[in-house]
Amino acid sequence: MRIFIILIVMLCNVAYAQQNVSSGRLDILRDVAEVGFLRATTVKPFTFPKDHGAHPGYRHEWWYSTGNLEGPEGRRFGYELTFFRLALAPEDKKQIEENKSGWKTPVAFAAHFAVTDVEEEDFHFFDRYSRADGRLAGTKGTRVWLEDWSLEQSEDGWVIKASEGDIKLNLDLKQVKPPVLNGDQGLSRKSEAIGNATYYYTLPRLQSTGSIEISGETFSVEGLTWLDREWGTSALSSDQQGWDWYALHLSDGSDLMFYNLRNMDNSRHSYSAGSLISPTGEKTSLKAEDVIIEVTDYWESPLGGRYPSQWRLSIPNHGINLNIKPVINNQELNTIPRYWEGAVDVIGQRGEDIIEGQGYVELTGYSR
Amino acid sequence: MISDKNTVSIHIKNLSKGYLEGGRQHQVLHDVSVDILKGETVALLGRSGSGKSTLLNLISGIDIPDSGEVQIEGKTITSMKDRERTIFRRENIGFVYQFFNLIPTLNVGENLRLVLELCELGKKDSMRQCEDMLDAVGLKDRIDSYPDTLSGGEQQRVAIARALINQPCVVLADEPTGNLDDYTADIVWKLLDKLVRPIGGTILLATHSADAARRCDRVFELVDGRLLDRTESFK
Amino acid sequence: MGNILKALSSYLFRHPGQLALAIIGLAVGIAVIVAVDIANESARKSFDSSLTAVTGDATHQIIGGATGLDESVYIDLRLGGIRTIAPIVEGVVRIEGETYQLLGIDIFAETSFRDYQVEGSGSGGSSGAGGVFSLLTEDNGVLMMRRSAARLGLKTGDPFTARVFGAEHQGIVLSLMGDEESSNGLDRVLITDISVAQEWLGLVGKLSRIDVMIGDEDNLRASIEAKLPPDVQLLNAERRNNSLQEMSSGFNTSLTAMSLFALLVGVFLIYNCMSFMVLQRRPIIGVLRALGVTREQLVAALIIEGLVIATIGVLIGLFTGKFLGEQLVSLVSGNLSDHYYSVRGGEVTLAATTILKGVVAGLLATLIAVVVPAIEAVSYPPRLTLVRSVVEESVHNILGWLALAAGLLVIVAGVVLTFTDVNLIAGFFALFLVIVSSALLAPLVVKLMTPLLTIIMGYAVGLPGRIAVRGILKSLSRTGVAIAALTIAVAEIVGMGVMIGSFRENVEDWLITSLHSDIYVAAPARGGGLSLNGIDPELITKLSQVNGVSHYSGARGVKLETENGSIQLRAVDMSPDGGNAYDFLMGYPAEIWPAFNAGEGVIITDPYAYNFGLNIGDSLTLPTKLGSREFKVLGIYRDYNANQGSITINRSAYITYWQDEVISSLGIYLREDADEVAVIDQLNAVGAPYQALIIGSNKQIREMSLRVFDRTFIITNVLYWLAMIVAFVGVLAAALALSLERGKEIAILRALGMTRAQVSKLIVVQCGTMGLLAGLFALPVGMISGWLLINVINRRAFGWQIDMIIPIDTLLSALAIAIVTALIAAIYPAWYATKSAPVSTLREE
Repeated sequence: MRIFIILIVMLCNVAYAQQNVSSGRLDILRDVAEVGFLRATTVKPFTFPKDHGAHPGYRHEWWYSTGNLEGPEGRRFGYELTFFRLALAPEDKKQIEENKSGWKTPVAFAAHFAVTDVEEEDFHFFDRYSRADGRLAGTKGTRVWLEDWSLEQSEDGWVIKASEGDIKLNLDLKQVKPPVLNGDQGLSRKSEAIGNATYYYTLPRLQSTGSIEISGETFSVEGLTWLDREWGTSALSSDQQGWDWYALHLSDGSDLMFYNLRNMDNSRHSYSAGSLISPTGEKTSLKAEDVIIEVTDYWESPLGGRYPSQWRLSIPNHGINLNIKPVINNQELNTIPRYWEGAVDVIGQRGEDIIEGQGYVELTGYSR
Repeated sequence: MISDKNTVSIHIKNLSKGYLEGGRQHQVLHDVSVDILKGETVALLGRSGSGKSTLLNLISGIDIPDSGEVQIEGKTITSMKDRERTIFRRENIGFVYQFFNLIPTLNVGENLRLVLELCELGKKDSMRQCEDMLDAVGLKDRIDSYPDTLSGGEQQRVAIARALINQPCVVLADEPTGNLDDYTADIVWKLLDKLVRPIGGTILLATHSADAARRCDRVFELVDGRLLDRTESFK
Repeated sequence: MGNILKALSSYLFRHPGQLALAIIGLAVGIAVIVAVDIANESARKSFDSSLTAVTGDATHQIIGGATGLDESVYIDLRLGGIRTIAPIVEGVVRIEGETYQLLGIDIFAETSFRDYQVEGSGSGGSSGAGGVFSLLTEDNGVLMMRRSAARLGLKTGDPFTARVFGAEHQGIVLSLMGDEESSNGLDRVLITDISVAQEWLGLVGKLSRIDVMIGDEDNLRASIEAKLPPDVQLLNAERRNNSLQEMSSGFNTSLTAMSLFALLVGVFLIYNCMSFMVLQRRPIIGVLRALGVTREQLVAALIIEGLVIATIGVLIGLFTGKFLGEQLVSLVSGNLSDHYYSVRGGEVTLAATTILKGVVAGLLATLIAVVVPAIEAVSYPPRLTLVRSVVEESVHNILGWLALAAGLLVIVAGVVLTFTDVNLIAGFFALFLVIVSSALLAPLVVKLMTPLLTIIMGYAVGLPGRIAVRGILKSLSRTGVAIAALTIAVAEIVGMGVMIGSFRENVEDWLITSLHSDIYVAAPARGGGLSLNGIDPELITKLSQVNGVSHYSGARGVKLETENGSIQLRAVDMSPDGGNAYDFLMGYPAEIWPAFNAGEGVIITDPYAYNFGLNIGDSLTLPTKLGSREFKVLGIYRDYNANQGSITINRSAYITYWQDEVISSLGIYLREDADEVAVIDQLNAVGAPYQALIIGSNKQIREMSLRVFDRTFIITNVLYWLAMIVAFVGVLAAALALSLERGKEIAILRALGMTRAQVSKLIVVQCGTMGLLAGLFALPVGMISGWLLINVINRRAFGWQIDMIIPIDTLLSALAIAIVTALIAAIYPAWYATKSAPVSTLREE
């Protein structure tokens, strides 16, 4: 569901660096023609590790990692590292001619990097943009990078590297569950229109070890990472003003993902959906009507806009009742457009059992 | 004293001249007619602003009348073109002013020679004539002086010399002694007499001075733009 | 006070001609000052903003070595986590004969450096973003300023052809930037994607530079430097801007000199017209004094009146000046764009300082022009004030003092020049003093020359000639100032003429000396004057085998960037007689060449030596591929090629230090019996299948160089215009003043029998004589100014050593301009003096 961010951020930040952005920016989205791109219309078989790599031919694609980490003496951190690939025009398949500039490409990359320092109540975030010329940014096999930020597959999982200023992150991710294909065998439809869909799979539970460096202080950390991979071509329909995305690691070993597409009147769009993943990796699809979410608190952004900041999420069919609360309120990424993406704590019940958990929530379309 | 009673030197007929002053027409001369004979000395009396100078200017062709005509030596100058009239003036009319009106940037000799040069006289002749003339007014030794180094009387003598150097048939004098003391004025009168009479020139003299008028053959007075003969009163 | 003012000014209202004259004179004076200042400021400003637009907010720049900057340097820095950098590929392209700066950028790296106002970037515009992004998606797309597009008749989506050294590229206008009025300095700048710029400019794989933003953290600078290859440097952006600015300093110097002249001439003109107004009313002043008005009251009244009139004149002058300035600016900017840099034209900025300069000049000159004669007028007993000749006498009395003051100023100028070495401002100050002193001497010169001229004119046109000439002397208070103004204006023509004439002769000589080969072959220099690959070695062999070619020498020209600005480095294979191409100002060829050929050092140009204070035997440091190296100066030779000067090194030494074997140009020597034209055709035919070559004969190159030179100084035509305007108004004012004043004298002359034609002739002779006087006096003054311009201003500004040559035709034409404009200015006064027979004046004292 990050398509809005990538498209809008990229288009706006560069062209309108000095300007305030209004909601009218959605129009720009439509200006990037869809003609000439592949579309996610039918169910396709996924093969790994090939599908861990890029999918040229589709207009956009992202690598989206979020995770909760714990340092020495239980010091809590959250992190986000995301890469977005956006083809501004269909990629030319022609051979690179002689005397052609190496800078020539219609593909752009953006990346966001954020670290939540719970103890200090600090939120650090950075964004980057580049052309995907295969040098400054791009993909090679299962490696994706933008300058010195990278995510690449290792022997038994993944390696994350990102640093900016005095914030550094190095993580080894170990895969403990197989990839989960969301939606209909990986085809995730976003509205009634055919092709208005993405291919979407998740590596829900990656055991993460490594280090975080903040202002010269290095902390050894470990925790869990959620990695989403999604690619496609179409934009959302215009009657959707934003979405709330929840990705939760629960203490019973199960994982829960749900996205709540919001209509203009703030009601839930019928194509909202999710996955409930068992400790062994079996997926149960969740439909819009399966999940009830109640907002129990709000947070006023100092930059404008009111975000939900506490939820009660219940899935009656599975006896799940969860209270979700951000670890700190201000985890808003002040890029263009602004959005909120932050580490959360979970506590609740499954049936009779008390369960806890940690996770990430993404909120868009609230900034004013 | 009158050499040729029968020749008219200045013939003035029905001369009228007015000026616009502050939006009002001010008639200076009103249908003036008079004949002045050759060799005559005529005084023209009148109060300030009575039109004496205007009449002199019309006679010399410096100014042009609204109507009427002026003939000098039989030539109608009022019908001449400007250039013609200018040439006629420099060859036939001499001017003497109250304030001398010498050219300050020329010395005494040059002031005189300017007139001759304008009449296109050869340089040698003009030099001799100029010296003779200055000799006659008693200022030969001041030939290289500039006007501003001369006294008033001397300046007027130079002015007379300049007016007479090309032997004009008419000499117009506008208060020539008005700015001079009696003694100096007397010298000037004698000079005019001495120099103009022998060549049979006509003198028309604008003046306030009854003394001066008495020296003349005839006396006229300008009153309200009309010319009245006062000769009898001065006999 | 009110009644005093009324008594004084009612005279002016009854003589509106004189009032108009004063205002016109004042306005023209201000207009000239303002116009030149506008031209100067606008050129500088538009240059600066072009610079800002192009260099952006970069604090530093990374510059490549002799063989350019490899793009991998940038990529390595980025991948190494250095983020406040942006790659630039730039060069010059021509569209429909106009020069444009092509700026290739990476839009993602740009946001913090430059501000692109793209069409539709306001609210509700949606195509704008598409416009910027189409840089990435549209092949050969450019963003163009709205003004440029309007000029070229292009709109969004239109294709156009850009020429880059013989090659044609099809571009497409993606979007328009800016609006018709302002263009934030980017007019004549085309923005395109870095890939397009690389391909068009033949710089694939290379960058022109990397813009860098370094804050206060010094460690960033250090960490960047640690990552750079040895021949790549991180330099201050200011330094580079300075060196870019130097490119236009030729203009600035000319323009500064011009505005100096303009200021003085304008002030004199104002003084002339305003002081006349006071002098004219001495009789009234006398009467008022006699009636018991105090001196202070009178002076105050005159000052108030003068300032009121000055205000009107200044306002008119500002507007006229703005208009005049616009004309100048288009001339100047066209010129700049042709040679130095892409600069927009026609946009006039009336800067606050310009207005201030005009207003202060106008009011101050008015104040002096009113106060001096006013104090002088009231300083006499009332009776004497009525007498005109008293004024003139007093003028004659102060001639000695004026001469003394002039002498003192010249001494001060000498002292200033002696004690300042390279300071350009001091040079201008000295020039200023010399001109002022010549203006002070003008009345004395008039006085000394009139006896002779009286005789000449008396002989030529008789006594009216004498009246005319003596009249000039007699009204020296009037004519002296007019002649001074005219003298400065004409001296300006002479001075600039001498400077440019000498310069041209020197350049011509130098071209003959330094262009020693018969035919020159060069590979087209692309972005930034760098020819990457030079001439194909195989092709060089083939070219040397063309029938008629005796032998050749190869050369490599590169640009090195250092903290002191960019340096032209030439590496040459010295042919047996090639050494004659260098005219050594210091050093003996017999000693220089063996050492040079052995690679023991370099020879440098005179400007380079002057700018950096180098002498034979000194060492200079150059950034080589092996890092910084010292080179000994073997000789100093004459050169007018580059503002900063250049360095020549033996090519084998160059190859050692820079590891660059490319030959970018050939000097071909022909056999005695060879037919030059045929050989050139043959060379072209041989070269065509390989690459684009520029082939020119010695003569063609010489002629082309001189054409460039001539166009550079096209601006000086403006001088002639200004001088003519000033001469015209100055003489007109003086002549009108004289004929107004001399109404009575003219009346006497008319009464004595002068025809109108003769009176007119007198006035024409008088004006012509004033023109002649000013013209004659302007010749020595102009030559002295020329000497200063050559040996002080030019030397200090550029380091060029120019032998002064006095171009007779310039002197004659200056004299002719002085006389002819004076004669033209005489037409109206001559007519005015005779239009009516001034009857009444004859009876006045």
